[in-house]
Amino acid sequence: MSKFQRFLVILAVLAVSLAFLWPTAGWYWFTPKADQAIALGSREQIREYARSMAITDLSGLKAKAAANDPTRLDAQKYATVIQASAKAYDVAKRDKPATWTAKAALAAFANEKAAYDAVENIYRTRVLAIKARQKKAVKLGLDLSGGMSATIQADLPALSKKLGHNLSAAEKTDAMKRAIESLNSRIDKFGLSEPTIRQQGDDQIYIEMPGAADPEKINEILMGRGNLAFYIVNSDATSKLTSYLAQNPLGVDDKTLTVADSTIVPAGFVIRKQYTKDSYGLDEFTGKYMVINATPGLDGNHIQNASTSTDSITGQPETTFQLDKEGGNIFYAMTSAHVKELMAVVLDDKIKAAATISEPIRDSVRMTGFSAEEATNLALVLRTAALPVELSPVSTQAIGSSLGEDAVHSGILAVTIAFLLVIGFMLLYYKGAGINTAIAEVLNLVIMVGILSAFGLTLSLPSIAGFVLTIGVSVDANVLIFERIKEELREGKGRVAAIQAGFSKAFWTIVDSHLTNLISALFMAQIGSGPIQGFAISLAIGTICSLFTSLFVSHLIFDFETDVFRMKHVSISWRVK
Amino acid sequence: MTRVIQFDKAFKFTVAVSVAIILAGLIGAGVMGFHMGVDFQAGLNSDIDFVPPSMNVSFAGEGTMSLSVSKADATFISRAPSGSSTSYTFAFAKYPTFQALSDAFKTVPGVAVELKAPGSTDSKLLLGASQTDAQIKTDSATVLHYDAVGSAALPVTVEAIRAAVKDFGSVSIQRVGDDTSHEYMIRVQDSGNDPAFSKTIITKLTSELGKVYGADNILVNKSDFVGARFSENLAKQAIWLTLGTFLLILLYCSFRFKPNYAIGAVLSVVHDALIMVAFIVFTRTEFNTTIIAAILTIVGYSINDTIVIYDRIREKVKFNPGAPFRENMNRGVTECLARTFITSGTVLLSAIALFIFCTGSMKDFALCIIIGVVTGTYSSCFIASAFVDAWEIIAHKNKKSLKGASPIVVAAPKAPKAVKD
Repeated sequence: MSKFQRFLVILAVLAVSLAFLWPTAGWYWFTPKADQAIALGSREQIREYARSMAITDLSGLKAKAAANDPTRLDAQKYATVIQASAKAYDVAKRDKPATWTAKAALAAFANEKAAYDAVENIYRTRVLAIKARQKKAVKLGLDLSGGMSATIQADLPALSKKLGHNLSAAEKTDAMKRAIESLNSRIDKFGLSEPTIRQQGDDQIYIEMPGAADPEKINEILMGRGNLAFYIVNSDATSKLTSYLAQNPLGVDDKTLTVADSTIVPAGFVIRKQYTKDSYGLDEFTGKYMVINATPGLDGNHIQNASTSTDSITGQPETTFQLDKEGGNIFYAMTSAHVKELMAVVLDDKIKAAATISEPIRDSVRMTGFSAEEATNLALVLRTAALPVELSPVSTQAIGSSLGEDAVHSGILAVTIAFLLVIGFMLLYYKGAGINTAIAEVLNLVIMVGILSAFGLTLSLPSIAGFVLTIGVSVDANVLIFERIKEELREGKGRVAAIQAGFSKAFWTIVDSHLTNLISALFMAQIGSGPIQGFAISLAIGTICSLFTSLFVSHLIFDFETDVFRMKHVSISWRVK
Repeated sequence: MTRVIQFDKAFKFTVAVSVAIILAGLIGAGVMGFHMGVDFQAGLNSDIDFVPPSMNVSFAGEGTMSLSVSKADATFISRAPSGSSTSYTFAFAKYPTFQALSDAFKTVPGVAVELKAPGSTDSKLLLGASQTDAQIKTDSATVLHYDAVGSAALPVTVEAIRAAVKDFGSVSIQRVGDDTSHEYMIRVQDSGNDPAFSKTIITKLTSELGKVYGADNILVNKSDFVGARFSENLAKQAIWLTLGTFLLILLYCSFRFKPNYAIGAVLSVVHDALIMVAFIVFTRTEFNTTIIAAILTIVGYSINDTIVIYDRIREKVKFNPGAPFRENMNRGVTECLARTFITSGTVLLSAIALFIFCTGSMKDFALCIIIGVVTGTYSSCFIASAFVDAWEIIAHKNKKSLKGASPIVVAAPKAPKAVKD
């Protein structure tokens, strides 16, 4: 490869690393805290935010327009409105007004709905862009951000005892799914931002909640029992509520689930939100509300089993479940009284599904009208009540965020000092060649963090330690090469020959030593999910980067000095000229 | 040419010293056992700061309000029910005292502040809320603590804490940081008798301590609970993975070098791991996952060091096949010496930076790395080469006796000599 090509390769690697680093820098340094708070919210909260901002802006604008306010709009406060309006003018190919008055801004839109949609869209897109940035940024581990995590054991032996037979693999998988489902429905009741929940091994579940660090909360999540029940939906009140919300998008108080207009929800009925699953399997609010009976028609503990099947005639997916005898009687009475009405399946105050009652039903129930996926999810929800899985914490961890912040500070300090010490030493000892090390090490750090972001890995205290040590270790490759070059110079070789020989003689030594290092790092990465893993991963990444920077980058710098600066000697030692 | 250092002269001595240290470590481990960390022992590990309250902050408005305190400022972030968000930041440079700060906090809509500490206290001493659930409670006030110094600091001692938690069974208490620190690591072992241990222990602990020091004076920085099952799995995993690493290194070195080199390399690595064990046993360093990471790092570092030296010895043997192995070995190790010192020096510099600037388990980790770098460097010069040397001598002897059995080979070079006579 020519020098220029090699330079291009390095530039490309650097560019890719910086591209991956960009969201991290943007999120941690250039995103205001208030925007961060909004972006960390759920999609539902973001939608609500965009909606309310649009309504506030437009009502302010309407008031001004109605009063025939001739003044120019506050460019900062109404930036979004002006932006939306300017776009609308452009689309309509009309000239923009000379001064942005309230009337002129509103005149861009065909009607109020169009104005609302345009403004709301800008708000939402902006926040979603910030959210996307956050998703791409390097995540801080719990030890740095503060927060809590728990590893939870599902008591499968107890379930097996209850069922009276050994669990098959499919039954185990289903039990774990049920356990996750029941945790899932409890976890976001606390308004936590970005919780993680995943199965670990065969019978454990790992939960992580950044930010809040109250061990009590983990207990609440664990001890809370999934409360499943069937409720009759009040269709009249629901449609009244829907039309009321079309006028007042923010009509329902999020905490109490009530509306200001008391004529909508009659006594003995309550409002509940309807949920679906998002792409991560977490509950997501559909934006729809229903008014249901305050008292359940049938409690979920009467369910004995639930499964999905396909209707033999229509081919439609369906969910079927069996009730015990007592449950069957209650269900029969309920369904007889409410034929052609809607029945809602509610888990922990969340409507998971709703279906019309076609006829009086006793203990064997069939629900249709869902997609295959919805049917599977519903069966899972029903089974959480039929076959609850006992959960107990295996390990829990809660870290205050102030502790995390101290750790970040000391970690950054350690990295900086280690970096300066090592580079300073190399410059002193190897003179000019020390510059190669300095450049290679800076590049090393950039590429390492770039790789970390690219793979969405988490930065924790042990991984910072890994980086600090990698700085020390990766200098080793440079030392090996420099020492070899020195030997060649001592034997009387010229600059070009000495450098060439130095690199080729050190090559296999460096590859060998890096590969064995990589072996032990990759092995370490297999230990649990805890601190060692973070450390090992950063060590492995550092080893690979160091291989690249020492063999490739440093060599190019030498060649560059030879050809461009016409250097005849190697500045590599105080003694060897 | 620089003088070749006769490393082999020291082999008998170094092997003896190493064996002595390792044996002492193993005996120590057998007699005293390890100071097992929370990762390996079911129980609760908590980091508790005994700090007085600075102010009580409460919130009575719509939506939610959260507060984060950093080194330089305090930031309130309010979220209206609709989702819109506003932030209010108060830099300590602008509000230098608690009085100024609490007055400033009151300007945030819906926030009420009750000052608990002297108003003249330096704002920089402010700490976040207990367990820093950043959200300010609506039903009761959130207590903000401060890092009290001098007479305002609480008189806490290890003995007093021990007295307060005497009913908890096996408890270990350790002060974190220097003598002025009021932060303590309190560990309660799970005896397995109380099934609700994991759920109730932290509340019990804080309430017992609260009875003695006042509930408002306790800030839980960190709490980790580890169940018996978790620690069992971890121990098993750690042992298997360490053995697996050794095996892979053995295979790789056999492939790249000769089997005797590979065995020497693994032996030197095992040597380093065992010396580290001796160090951990005698310094009573807490044995936890971080320490396992340190041991594995040293395994990686030491093998790296050994391979560099082997490479050099092999090169010497290749260029000078007639010379005795011992001479080639001494030359190889000597030629690598500069590199050995510089590399271990730079790794040491990094490890020392970690040791100085980090606290808690990271400090222990850095200390182990420092020890390991020293032993790793030593073992690759003295232990790994000593093994290959010993092997070569034995192999050579065998070859010699083999040669003695076949007179034709021996006789051949003698022939011209006889003619000359």
